[in-house]
Amino acid sequence: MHVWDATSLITCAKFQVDGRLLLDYALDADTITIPMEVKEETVDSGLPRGFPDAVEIRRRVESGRIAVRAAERLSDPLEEVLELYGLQEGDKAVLRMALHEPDDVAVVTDDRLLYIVIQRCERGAMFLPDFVEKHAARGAFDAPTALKLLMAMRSRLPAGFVEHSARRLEGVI
Amino acid sequence: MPVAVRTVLDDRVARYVRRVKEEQHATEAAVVQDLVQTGYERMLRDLHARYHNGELTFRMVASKLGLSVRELYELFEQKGLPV
Repeated sequence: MHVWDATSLITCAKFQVDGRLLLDYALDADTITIPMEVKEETVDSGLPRGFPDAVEIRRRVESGRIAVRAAERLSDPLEEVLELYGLQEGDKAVLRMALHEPDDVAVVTDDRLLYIVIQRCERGAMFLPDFVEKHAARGAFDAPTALKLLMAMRSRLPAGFVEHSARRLEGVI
Repeated sequence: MPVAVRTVLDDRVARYVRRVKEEQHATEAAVVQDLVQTGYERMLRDLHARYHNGELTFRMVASKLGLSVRELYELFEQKGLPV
């Protein structure tokens, strides 16, 4: 199970490979759980603006394929630290959820600062390309499919992120 | 939703606006709109760079711009800026 952040979820709900959303490939690989704040950011505020990705995420929430849960507050000292970082409520919700899960649960995010804070809280964090690599290694997708997934998301990620994972999948590095 | 504003320009800025207005046969409003838009674009790219460099989270940038997460995702996408 992975906790997913909003921008990673949106990206996967926007792009397709072979007629399927990246999101459905991700759901084939593992369960996705999001805090209520991420559901609000992606579905509730996306639907009124007519974003198709909001509709797709909502469908998978309603079918139960994406689990939505409330994220409980952490200890006061740790909440104070999150406040000092300047994190917003959605950022904190992702962290709260991750820290209440077992140690092996990782967060999928493309947010560099959030990634750093999660790691400093001694929880796993991965960028979207890392998620694809990990689950390709576990057999959820073959290498050609994994490469297609990476290329599909490439336009939304900074230079180097997708290429790094692609080279590893190709066995070049 | 567009808004109409009245403002007082610094003397140097006012002189620039008058010069561009004459040069381009534009209205003062159009010149000021262009200045504001240019300033906004520059600020947006600065915030994006700070997000990209790990100084700000995506949500912090959205908050600073008065946008929702989804609106900011759309704006970055329109500008060709990665998330």
